[in-house]
Amino acid sequence: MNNKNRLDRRDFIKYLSLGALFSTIPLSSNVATIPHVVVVGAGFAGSTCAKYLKLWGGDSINVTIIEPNSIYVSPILSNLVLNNQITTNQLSFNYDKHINSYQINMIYKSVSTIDSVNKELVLSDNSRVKYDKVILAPGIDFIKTNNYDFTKVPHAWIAGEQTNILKTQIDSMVDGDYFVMTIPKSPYRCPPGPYERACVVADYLKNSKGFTNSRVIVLDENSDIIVEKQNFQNAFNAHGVDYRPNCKVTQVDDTNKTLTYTEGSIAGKTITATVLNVIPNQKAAKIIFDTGLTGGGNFAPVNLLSYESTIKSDIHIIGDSHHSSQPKAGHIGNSEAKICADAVLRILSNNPLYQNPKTNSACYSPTSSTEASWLNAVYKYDAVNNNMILTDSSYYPKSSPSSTYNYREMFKWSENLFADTFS
Amino acid sequence: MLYRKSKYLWGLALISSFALIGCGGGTTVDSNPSGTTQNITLPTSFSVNDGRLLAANCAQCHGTNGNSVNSWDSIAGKSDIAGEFYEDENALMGAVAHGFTQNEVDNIASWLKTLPKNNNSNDDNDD
Ligand SMILES: Cc1cc2nc3c(=O)[nH]c(=O)nc-3n(C[C@H](O)[C@H](O)[C@H](O)COP(=O)(O)OP(=O)(O)OC[C@H]3O[C@@H](n4cnc5c(N)ncnc54)[C@H](O)[C@@H]3O)c2cc1C
Repeated sequence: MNNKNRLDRRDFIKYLSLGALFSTIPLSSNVATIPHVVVVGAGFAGSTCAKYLKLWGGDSINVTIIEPNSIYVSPILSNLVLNNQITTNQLSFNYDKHINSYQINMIYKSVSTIDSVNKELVLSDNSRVKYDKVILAPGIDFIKTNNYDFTKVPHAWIAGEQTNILKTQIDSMVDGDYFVMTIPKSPYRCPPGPYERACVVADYLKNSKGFTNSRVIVLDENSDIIVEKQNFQNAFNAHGVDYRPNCKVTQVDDTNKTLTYTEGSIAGKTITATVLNVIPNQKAAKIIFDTGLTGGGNFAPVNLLSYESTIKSDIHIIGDSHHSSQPKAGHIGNSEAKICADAVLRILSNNPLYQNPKTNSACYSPTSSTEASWLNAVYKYDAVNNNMILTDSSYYPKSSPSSTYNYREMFKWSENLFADTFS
Repeated sequence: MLYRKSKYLWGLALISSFALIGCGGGTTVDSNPSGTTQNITLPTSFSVNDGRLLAANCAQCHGTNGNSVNSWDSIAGKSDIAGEFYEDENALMGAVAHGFTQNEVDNIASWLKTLPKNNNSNDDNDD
């Protein structure tokens, strides 16, 4: 395929426009002092942050995104690829708007290391990029039980190729085959997502494929369904999902498609399936660890008024990689990104930070090819514990049970969320 | 069924800076096919605005600067948002509204009413 050529051409054009941009900046004494903000990773959090930095900061800053992929595939709605309702093409976004409308410089590479003393990023080709502020939005990484092949046992928790591998495996099942998936220990990306997936796949096998002998078995490392319990329990019952809590995966055999796991206090149990979908436990992306930003935990602690690292200054972390009580999700990652963009602009212009930030989360979960539920919460800043907490813990999280109405509304929600993030 | 499916696909394609990848791909679809997204004018400098920051919480569902890309309400240029904020019959909006104080809503409203409305955006309040 000519993807490679396209990437090269794009890179080239981006560099041309980068040069053009700098040369068209008026040659005043200002030029040297316009701060350079670099956003690393352009998923839900990074794309939103870069866009809003320019939307609100305009000519007062230069913004560069460093992201290895020229196309981003949204994990949001990606379970609907598995049951044939949409394709990954429909969840694919490029950065044309960021480049053309928001005048953001795009570099299609990844960041290998961060030299926080000299405030330089070292890229995959060893080139260096200077920053005044860097915002890291690199998403998640997985904690594997053992070394096994993700193309044989896909997670499909980062969307794109992985989603299509899992889809192909599901479509190769015949009646009587087992689909076994595992749910990681919380916190992980998208709390309702794995439960949603179990429902969607079970509905697909039973009602679209007409299988009467296949089984969907869910091994959850948590002690219970962690969100929307009633809703998912109803859907599990309706679709015949076999849900087993307190099941911790200890070994994945990708050749025989066998899992070894501990159920409660009983170790060494095994299960074999035609399709194994292990969603491993999660931690912040590699660059966060390599830069020493976790302080011993799995995610990066930040000042939640600005998302600046509490460990290294001028490095901010947003989205799934940061540590707080907010769920690891795209809608709220978009919200965090705006708080961060505003804070960075305030810091660069010597203004005090906004002291009462609020963020909101919304997840729509399809539970079949016609029904979906939603889950919502609004968070406020807790100055005593430097955390974002529920504005009203007796009210939130608020959910709405599965319905065909919610299924239709889900696409309107996602269209506006995608547009606010990528266009 | 098929009709509904393709309607959704069209909806997604419309807004999504769209690119076709995968087998037989390589085609790129116009990123802004029908002008559904607004023309952006970037400011020359940054100025602090608390209402704008709070109102950014609305954009995931109501569009950047309050201009929705579909039949969900656009809220740009609205002067009466404070009045209807808590009363919206949409259950998700009701849930989100619960998390904001009257003072915050007033702040959001004073920012939203300054925003230009897109010609093709929907503010019917019927969704
Ligand atoms: C099945 C499923 C359903 C979901 N449904 C919902 C939902 O309904 N609502 C919701 O809010 N959320 C949902 N989510 C969660 C949501 O997709 C994620 O939380 C969100 O994508 C996180 O955004 P992020 O920007 O932190 O990370 P990502 O979106 O993963 O983006 C990270 C980016 O950083 C880049 N990157 C990584 N390392 C580097 C590096 N060293 N240098 C440069 N770039 C780098 C990557 O290439 C990637 O593009 C769902 C997730 C799944 C899997």
